[in-house]
Amino acid sequence: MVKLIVSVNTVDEIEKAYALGADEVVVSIEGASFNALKKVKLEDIDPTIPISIFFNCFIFPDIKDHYEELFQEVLKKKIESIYFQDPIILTWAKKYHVVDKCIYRPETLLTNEYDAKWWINHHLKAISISPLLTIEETLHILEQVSNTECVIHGHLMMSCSKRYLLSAFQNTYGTEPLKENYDLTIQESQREGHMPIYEDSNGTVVYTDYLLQSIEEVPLMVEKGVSRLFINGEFLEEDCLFDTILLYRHLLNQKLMKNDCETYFEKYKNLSFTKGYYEEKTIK
Amino acid sequence: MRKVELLAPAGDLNRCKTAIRFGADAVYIGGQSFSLRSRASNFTIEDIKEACAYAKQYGSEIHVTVNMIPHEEDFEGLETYLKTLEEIGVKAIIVASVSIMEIARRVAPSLEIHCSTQMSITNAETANYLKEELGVDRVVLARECTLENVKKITKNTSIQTEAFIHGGMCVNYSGRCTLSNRMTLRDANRGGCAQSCRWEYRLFDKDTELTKENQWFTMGSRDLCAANELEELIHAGVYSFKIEGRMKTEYYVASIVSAYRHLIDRILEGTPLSKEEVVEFRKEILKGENRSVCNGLYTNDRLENSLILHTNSDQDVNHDFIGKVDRYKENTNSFTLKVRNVVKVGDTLEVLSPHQENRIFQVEWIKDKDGAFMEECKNPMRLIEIPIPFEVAEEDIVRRYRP
Repeated sequence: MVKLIVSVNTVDEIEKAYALGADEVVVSIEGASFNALKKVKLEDIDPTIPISIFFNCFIFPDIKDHYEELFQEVLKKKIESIYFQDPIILTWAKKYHVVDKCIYRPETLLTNEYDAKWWINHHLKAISISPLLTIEETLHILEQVSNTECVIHGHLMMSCSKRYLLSAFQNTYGTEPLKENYDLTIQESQREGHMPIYEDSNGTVVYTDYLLQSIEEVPLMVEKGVSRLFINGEFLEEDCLFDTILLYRHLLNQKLMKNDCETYFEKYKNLSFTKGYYEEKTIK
Repeated sequence: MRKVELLAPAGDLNRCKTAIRFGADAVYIGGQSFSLRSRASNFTIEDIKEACAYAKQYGSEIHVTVNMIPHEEDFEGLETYLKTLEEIGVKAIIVASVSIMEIARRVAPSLEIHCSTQMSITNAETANYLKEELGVDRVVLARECTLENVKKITKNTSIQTEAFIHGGMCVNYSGRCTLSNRMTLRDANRGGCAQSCRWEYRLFDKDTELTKENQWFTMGSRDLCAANELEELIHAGVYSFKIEGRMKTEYYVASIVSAYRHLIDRILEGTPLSKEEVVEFRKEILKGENRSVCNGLYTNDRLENSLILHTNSDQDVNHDFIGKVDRYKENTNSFTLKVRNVVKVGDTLEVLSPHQENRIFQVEWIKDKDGAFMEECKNPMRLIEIPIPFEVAEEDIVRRYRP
């Protein structure tokens, strides 16, 4: 059965996400998560509720021991999945016998069936392929590799830096503090779109101005054997996040009516939805 | 003192030979396929073969970048290509894809595999994991590592480590940036990076713009210069020291390689460098540089001092390169060269010769190719003759002297 996965911004959203049809709910935790989801405190997560965690920051030697302790703390929760991109996490997962909960999600690096197979052959729960692929490339990998996850909806991460880019701007031009401000966007001087940007202690991340949507592509992915469909919750208002879960749940349950889509896109017409790279192959 | 490697970039055969002559222990180059930096003039198989033969004469080695993040179609011809690289004497390939590493191990087992910085290796456990799983020979450490990080990683892994010491830096974790894909549809992970991080951006807090004209938000990193950290990096056990810049000029390659060669040789003599010596070596290195530099993240400076904000941008063209020696005339104690930048009678020039201290002299006269005296030459690529009080060799670099 195809699972619908969603990342949420607060502990309060977890229960509702499940109620609306998410099969797994992912949160970011303070320190260990390198994305722009609002970070939740580990102690605030109910240990009886199944939860998945982004443990996707890069681990440097000076913080390694602390992070391994944090990893052990995470395992005290009712963990469904652990998303990682630094292979050191896999070595810890082996040590603590949780490799089968690990999902390799290096954002942009899994772009072909061979790399995907290499990782999945290491007994991981799943791998998450790059959202930079065309729909043909995506479907080809799904046909060849089991336990594959596709990001299907939301803002996509465009870059992550270890630098404090916003604080550097603040220091130079004397603005109000910009760190951990979720309302910031950047706009390339010759273009229209506003790209969410966020800085915390890990560094700075930038997201796409547009939102990927895959209403037409999901049935094709399901047909080719996709295991997991992921909704990125970063920078989505709570209402929009919940409506999105419901939309895809109906789609997967084959209960989506034509006017459900129309209503959804009409309600969020101020957002810029696109097909990402599904129909537009990048050039070398 | 143990051996260390000075690893230089080259975008074509001329630059490759220049890097070797000026003291690179190894040169990394890109083939016409499978490599990042698609706009660098990449090498044909014949070029690579010639580079390997040339390197062998000097006891140097050739590494080839096979570091794109491949899509399905990029695997076509890969096995044949890797076998050919092995056959023609390439020492190592630099790779970012685990499946390319596996293929290389199978079809070209004598090629060393070096994990690219695209893999963002920031700890010893990851390095050891890649060695155990894929038999890799070396890891290029992420440019996000501090000096202390590099020391700890190198100490705790049995695999060779390689660290960047000079040149351009991605502001983002390598391989994870898709700014170029979004802005231009050019795939940064397959050689098409448009360096969109260096463009001008407006910054907004909700609807309020925080930027002003000429006070843009930018994300470009200053270039790296690790002259201050090199001695500690060598003593920490790092094996290879990499200069970035396959798209840089021949002058840049000669100048930067030569300066780091002198610095490394001095460190390997064994006695600690004084602060004054470090300052002098750094000054020498920066003569070949035309962009603002920083210590990278070795000193963990994650703020404005490591960035190019447009108010402190100084991307001036470097006018110091006068030309390469065309021919030395022993009977007249003079040499000819094709001029690249303005040179005048009275100018003080400096000659960079491989494995020698730099030498300076003053221009006493200039003649054109017909023997007519001239006060100055402004025409690029014009052949002129200049007297010189010492012997120089073909291909030596001549530049304006800056104390």
